[in-house]
Amino acid sequence: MNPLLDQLLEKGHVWQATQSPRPDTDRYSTGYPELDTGLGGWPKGALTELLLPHTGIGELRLCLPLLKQLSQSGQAIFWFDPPHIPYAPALARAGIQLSQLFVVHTKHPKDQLWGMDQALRSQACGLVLAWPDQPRPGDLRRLQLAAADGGSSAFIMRKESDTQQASPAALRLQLRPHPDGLSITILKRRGSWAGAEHVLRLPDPVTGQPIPSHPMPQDSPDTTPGTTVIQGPWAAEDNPVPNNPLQE
Amino acid sequence: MLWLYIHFPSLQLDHYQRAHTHPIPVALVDGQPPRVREANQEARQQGVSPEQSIHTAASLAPTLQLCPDDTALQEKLLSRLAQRCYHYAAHITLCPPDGLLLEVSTVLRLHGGLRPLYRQLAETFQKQAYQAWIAGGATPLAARLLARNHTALSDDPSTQWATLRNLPIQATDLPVGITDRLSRMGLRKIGQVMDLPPQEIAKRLGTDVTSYIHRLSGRQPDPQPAWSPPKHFEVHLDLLRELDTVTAILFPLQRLLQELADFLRQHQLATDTLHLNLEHRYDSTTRFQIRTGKQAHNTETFLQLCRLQLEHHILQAPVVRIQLRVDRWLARQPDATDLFGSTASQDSLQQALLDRLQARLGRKHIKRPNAVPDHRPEKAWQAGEAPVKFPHPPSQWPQRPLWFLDRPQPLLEAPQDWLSGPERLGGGWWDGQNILRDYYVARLTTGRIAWVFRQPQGGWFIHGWFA
Repeated sequence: MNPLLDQLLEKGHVWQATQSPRPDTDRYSTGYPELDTGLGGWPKGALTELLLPHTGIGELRLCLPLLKQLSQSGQAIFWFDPPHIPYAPALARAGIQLSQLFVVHTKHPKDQLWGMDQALRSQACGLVLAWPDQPRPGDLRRLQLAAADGGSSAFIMRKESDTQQASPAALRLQLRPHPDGLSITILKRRGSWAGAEHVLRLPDPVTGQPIPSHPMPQDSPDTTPGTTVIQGPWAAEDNPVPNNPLQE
Repeated sequence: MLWLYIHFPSLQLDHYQRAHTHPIPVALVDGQPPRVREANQEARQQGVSPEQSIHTAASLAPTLQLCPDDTALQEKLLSRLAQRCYHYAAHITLCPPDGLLLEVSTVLRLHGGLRPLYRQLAETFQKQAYQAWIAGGATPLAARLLARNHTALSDDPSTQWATLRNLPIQATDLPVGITDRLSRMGLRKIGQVMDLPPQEIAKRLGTDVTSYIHRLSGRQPDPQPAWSPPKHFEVHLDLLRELDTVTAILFPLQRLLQELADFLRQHQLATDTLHLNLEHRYDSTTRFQIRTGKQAHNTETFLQLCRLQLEHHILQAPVVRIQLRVDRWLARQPDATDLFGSTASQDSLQQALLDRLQARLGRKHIKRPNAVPDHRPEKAWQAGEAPVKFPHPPSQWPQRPLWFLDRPQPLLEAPQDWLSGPERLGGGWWDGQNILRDYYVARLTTGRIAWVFRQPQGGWFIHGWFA
């Protein structure tokens, strides 16, 4: 064969389809059949990045089947610096074993990185969910190595604005809210090509029933565009922002 | 009866040296004006010798550390060393300031003779960096004299007697006046004195001397009070050179932790709390409490936790003394091993990880969210471990958001869609935290689904996100 090509192969600069990971052994099922066919599952022992415009668009519902699967098989799930409180009643209702959840709050990015590194390497933790503030590519690289070392997975939630940054993650998904669930764009996938936008139907957060047409509370703001909002703190400009009711 | 006497020729000096990796010249001083009483090898090489004034000694060895001769400290050290010996012999007597007496005839068969026991003891003290001279004798005093004069160990009684009889009379514990009178009489060896008729000695030198000789030769009983080990563990190390970095503390700390691990092994105990005190130069002390989630008993676990806790600590002042105390004991539970002898179960790995995280990040920063049977949203969860019994299985609980906001945010925009509601949640008069709110689920213009509530007095707030 061409010596130049040999050299490139030896240095690992050329990706070979034969070396791509086996989809069945080192992947977790996502719990959504259409996502499983699209992605082949969540990578095991690797970093996954989820890029979202803001928290609360459905990123947890996306991960729920995996959380349920891991916690029920007795694997610990560590949450590093979640932006809000993971609400135990809702998690328990979704079938997650609360005894396997650990929420870690760190004061410093270094502590967070260290903690995640420890958790990923320890082989005692199935999944790390983390909300880092401005992670550097070097830090992510370290986490990727730690994940590969310990065979644990990590989900890193990042801002949408980081889409253009290079990342060593095995899988990068850009999430956007969609009326039916989530719109997912594959930005990077190890061993395969980036994909097009895809809409994933998530279970309805309320009842699983079709969304009712207009169950309007009596004094709620009018939602038809163009009409004046009569009541509610958001409407009239002279209406001051109400105080936090729990602070009184 | 067979007695083993262990003499520590430089107990206090060894204690000071233990905390340091490199030899440091040290001298003990006492008296008024202060004079050198004892100097370690490093100091002697630089010319320091006993009876020198401290000025001479300090000019000979500029880096010489002078320490007061501390009898209280020596006694404490002896008690600590007795704890180490307790593993080998049951009847131990402290002989302050620098000796331990062990009754070994009852344990000889257990250890397979005097020599194997001697080897084990010697190894123990060597590991602990203490010099020890060990000798055996038929009476406590005989063993003491043989050990203090650094004679070779012998398990043959006749050789022991011959060696003892050959010792100079000055080697005994008799007062200097008496030994002087004996040597003026031409009695220079212990054997010569022992051969004399006791009545004659009593007449000339007093009954104290006869009684001493009788106890030495075994003609008079010499009962020894037995020492019993304390039920708490407290060790300390005095540092000659002040340590100002945390990494420098880890070396001496390792020695203390090794002692703790040995103590725990001997008593078949384990612990989950260590108290580590770092005493600073000006009487202030930094206290650490090191906790493990699961009981532990080996040095590596303790050291790793100490390292994690200390790593982040910035020392206020240089450390002069390290103290380690344990007063919480747990019965040791054997690690469950599987068929192939592997002990690292998922559970113990998880516990080890939690210990590490808690040691570095702080115990209160790692929480386990738990559900509580209360209908008020902010009371329905807690960060605790207590498993709570619920009247219904979780699948029958009401739908709640996955993200919960600690402080409700004011709702500043008109929602796009109303998905469900109202759900009125009220009550709480019984603990003074009364609420009355109507909850709705609404989709906002950003596409997020919020859990919003309205209070009767007005005002709309977001209390969670259906993420």
